[in-house]
Amino acid sequence: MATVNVTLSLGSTDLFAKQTLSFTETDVLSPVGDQQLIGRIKTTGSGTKDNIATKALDGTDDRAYLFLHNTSTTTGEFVDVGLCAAHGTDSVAADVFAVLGPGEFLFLPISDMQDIDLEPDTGTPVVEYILMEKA
Amino acid sequence: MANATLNATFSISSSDLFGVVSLSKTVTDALTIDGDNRQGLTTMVTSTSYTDINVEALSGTTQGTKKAYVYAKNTDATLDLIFADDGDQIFSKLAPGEFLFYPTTDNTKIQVKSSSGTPTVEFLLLEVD
Repeated sequence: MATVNVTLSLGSTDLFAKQTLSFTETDVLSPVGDQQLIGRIKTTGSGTKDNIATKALDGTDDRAYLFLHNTSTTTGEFVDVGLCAAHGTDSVAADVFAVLGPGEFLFLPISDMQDIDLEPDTGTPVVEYILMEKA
Repeated sequence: MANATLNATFSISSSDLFGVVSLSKTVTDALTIDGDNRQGLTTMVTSTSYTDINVEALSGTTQGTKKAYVYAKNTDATLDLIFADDGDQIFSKLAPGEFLFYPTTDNTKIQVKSSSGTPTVEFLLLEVD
């Protein structure tokens, strides 16, 4: 069984006038599902959704750990992240749940979806991804 | 309300996820917070019914619309937390000790409930204009 270490640090000195934000969270993950992916994709462009799973996520509640990083440095190259109820089908408008601006990332234990798709608002930004099926 | 900056760093590493390569990645970003809903670290006891974690409806018009950075952690030792969007579509379940950080979009609210019992969720929500 593999071990994956994750750490998130968030900090700000000007969010609140009377409170400084600074904390770190760590976790040790043990993904044992039959699909563990790492890769990068140059998105096709607006109007096309690019899927990242190679087969349907499965296991209890289709759970997986998802990391995405929009590597673009170009203003306006946002990437919509949508959930796919079934592998091989595109998400619909109501299924978009996250957006990554240039340089932004997310880490999310996803569930109740069989795939993820990506669609940029403009351009063809490159997205790096790690998808680890949980069980 | 003046703009603020949220500095975010995420690291992921593994020496045995893959047989031929080690995984080691760190990404940092300085995020501009300019929305009108700025909620600091909060803890809330959940139930098996959905509760919104945002105080007011997300309403920003840029960067995909209704965007906010969301951090959440399941602080319970045994029970799961379930997260859903404004259409009750489940997109995440946090096992005990797990956390998430992501920029939500296209939803007026983020909802959370427990799989059973009353586990506590810790969260932070920072809206973008």
